[in-house]
Amino acid sequence: MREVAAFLLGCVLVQGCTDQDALMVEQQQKLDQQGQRLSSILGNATPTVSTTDGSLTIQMSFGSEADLDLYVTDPHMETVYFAKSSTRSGGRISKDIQCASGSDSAQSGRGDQHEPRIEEVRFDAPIPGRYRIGIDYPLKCAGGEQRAAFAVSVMHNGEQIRKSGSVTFENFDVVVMEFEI
Amino acid sequence: MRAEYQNPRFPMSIFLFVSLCLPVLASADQFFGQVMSDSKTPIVGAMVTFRFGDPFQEKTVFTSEEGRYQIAGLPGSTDYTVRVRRIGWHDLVTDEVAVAQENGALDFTLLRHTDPAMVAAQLPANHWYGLVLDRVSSEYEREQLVRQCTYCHQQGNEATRVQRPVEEWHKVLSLMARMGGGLDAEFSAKIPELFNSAYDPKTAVPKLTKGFDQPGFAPPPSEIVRRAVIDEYQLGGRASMQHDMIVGHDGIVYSVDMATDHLFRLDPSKPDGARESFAIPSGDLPLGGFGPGGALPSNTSMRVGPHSLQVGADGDIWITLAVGNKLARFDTVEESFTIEDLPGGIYPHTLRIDSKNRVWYTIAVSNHVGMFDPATGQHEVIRVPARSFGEEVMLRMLPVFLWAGQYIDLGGGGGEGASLPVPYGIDIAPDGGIWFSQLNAHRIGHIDPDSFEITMIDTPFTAPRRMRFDSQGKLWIPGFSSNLISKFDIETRQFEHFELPIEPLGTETPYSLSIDPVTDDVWICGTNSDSLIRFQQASAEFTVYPLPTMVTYTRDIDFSADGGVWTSNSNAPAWQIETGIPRLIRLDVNGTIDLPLVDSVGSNL
Repeated sequence: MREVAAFLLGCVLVQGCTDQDALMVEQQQKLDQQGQRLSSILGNATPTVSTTDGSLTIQMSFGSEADLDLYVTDPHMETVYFAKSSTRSGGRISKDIQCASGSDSAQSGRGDQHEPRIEEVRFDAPIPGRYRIGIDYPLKCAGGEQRAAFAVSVMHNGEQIRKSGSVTFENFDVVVMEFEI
Repeated sequence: MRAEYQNPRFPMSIFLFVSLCLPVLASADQFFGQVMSDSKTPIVGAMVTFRFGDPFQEKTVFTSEEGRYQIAGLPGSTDYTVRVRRIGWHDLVTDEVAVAQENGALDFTLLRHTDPAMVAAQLPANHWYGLVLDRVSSEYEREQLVRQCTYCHQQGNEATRVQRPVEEWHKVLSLMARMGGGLDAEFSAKIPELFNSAYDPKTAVPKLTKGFDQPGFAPPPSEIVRRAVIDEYQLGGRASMQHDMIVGHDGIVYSVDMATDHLFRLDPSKPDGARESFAIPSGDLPLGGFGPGGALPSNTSMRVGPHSLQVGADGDIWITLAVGNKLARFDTVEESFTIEDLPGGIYPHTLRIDSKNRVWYTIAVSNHVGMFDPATGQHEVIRVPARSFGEEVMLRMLPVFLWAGQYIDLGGGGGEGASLPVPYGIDIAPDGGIWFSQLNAHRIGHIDPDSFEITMIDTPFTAPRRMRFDSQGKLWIPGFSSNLISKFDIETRQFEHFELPIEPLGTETPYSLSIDPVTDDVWICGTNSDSLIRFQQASAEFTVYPLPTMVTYTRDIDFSADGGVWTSNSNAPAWQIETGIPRLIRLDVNGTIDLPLVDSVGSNL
């Protein structure tokens, strides 16, 4: 009798895990598709400030279900992000895109549910060296889930590098991409 | 010659930029002179700072009652940048100075601030933070605010006394909670309004600068303080977090950079304050190591996270590797590391070494105290009592929560961090007993070093942090959120409190204290007020030594045999520090360390 119960319990657990795995695969596929869509948006996006020769522009695109934050660390290891809008090396962030819902956002005037939702960091005269891009997912917006898709692009000297992926709620992915100029 | 501030209409920001680019060209190794106002009155207690070298060093002296200063022990044959600073006056930086006279005479004239906002900006962070604290009527909330919001950096400095949109505050609080500083949900919701109203310049500046044009405003430091000489040594870079420092048996100073996994070494006897660093092996650990997940600093390269250090009897340096869950031993002769894996616990924190050369250390996240005996290889991980059965269960499940948190939402975000008990400071009593604090539980504890039996004692004040025994076997404890130090008699179990005199009262956050092994003076970190504080036991007198660099967040103090009082600036993030780079700091109380014999000048000094 005990063996039968164990067998049945095992079946339930295995079945549960299988269902969970299938769900995760499905969610990942959805995130991948969304990431690719966001990446294509960045492929067509132009910097909010006109590009000058030699400038460096980093953009992050994300959906309206999440408030993601873009962090860019310069070769001096100083970071520009929503709470520190500029660096000594000249980096500056365009604006902090937040959740659209709720009166708080409306008051701040920064909530924006219309895509493309793009945060941008620019260096007019970037210093040479290694740069790091990080993405944090601190707040869920309406419809937000445990993971959120993003795409980032780096534009410098007429070249663009793009990458898409996803981040987990309340986890700060410190190194999404590193590059040198 | 004289250096006049000649163009008061020149914008300050441009003035500073230009001046930092044009160092004083002088070859003297000592200077003297007078600091006067533009109305020809002496300025008392101004800080005169000479910067030189690469990586830089800064040496600061104070002006006397007659506004005179004398600075010696400079390397000579180098360029200097000079800054003269006094609250209420424009900083004077040396773009107006060309060459000092051959005998080293160099006078300065300062110009009064007329804009109250600029005066307010010169005040240490605690003055601004006092505006926030004044608005909190609940003692429970006030205590939370002090303890949790100043864990890693000052509150009220230029970078933190800002008004933000509400959503931005929520994100800041979320980051803070994921880095270990959490507020309860109800209080967290009040933070945006609280900070935005307190830091509104329209009300803050008039409050902070009331009577700023009167003589009693920001009084100069006392004559005793003005004898001091302060040396600051640049250490690391903008990503650095020089968490703790220690003075070795040979006078060499060591510091651990938690954010970059390096051990730094400074030889203050060398003319250039020779500095070098050693990468601590991290194996194949990922960024963040085994640390509790959530959020790391954006510019970190931390894989093992060296946190605290002590010198063993043989001169080796022992280091806790907080996020690597290891101990490191640095052989100062071979310049090599030995890494010791730990059998349990999460986040080894502060350590001490007992008379049997055993290493005792608090384990902050999982609520343990650990012991490692290098002679036998014995490890002990001692579970510290939780505050309740529920907390005990939660702590035991913590590894599971941390693992599961990677995959599912366990809640607790948005600034609602769990308040773990957090074993923190630790020290060894003269009788060999192990004493430690439990920061968030407001308790201290005793461990029998042989039986490992634990006794817990509630402290009649909040947030006991890093504590030390004096030569008489009395345990001194700083109350991080209670603005006091307390002397605890381990025999009678009695506490005796001494309130810190930092103005405005109640705004200091004493992170740590240490006992001068020669004088038994208690030295306290003025963590939120850019100061070091001395308490002389015999007279029960406090002396507050202001430190020259704005945003000097200190976490530990040690002493060199020549009488130097050492600390480090470990504000995290480093970019909030005035120059964006951490420093090792030596306070020479009487200004006698390393001073060459020179002719007497400035007789009133």
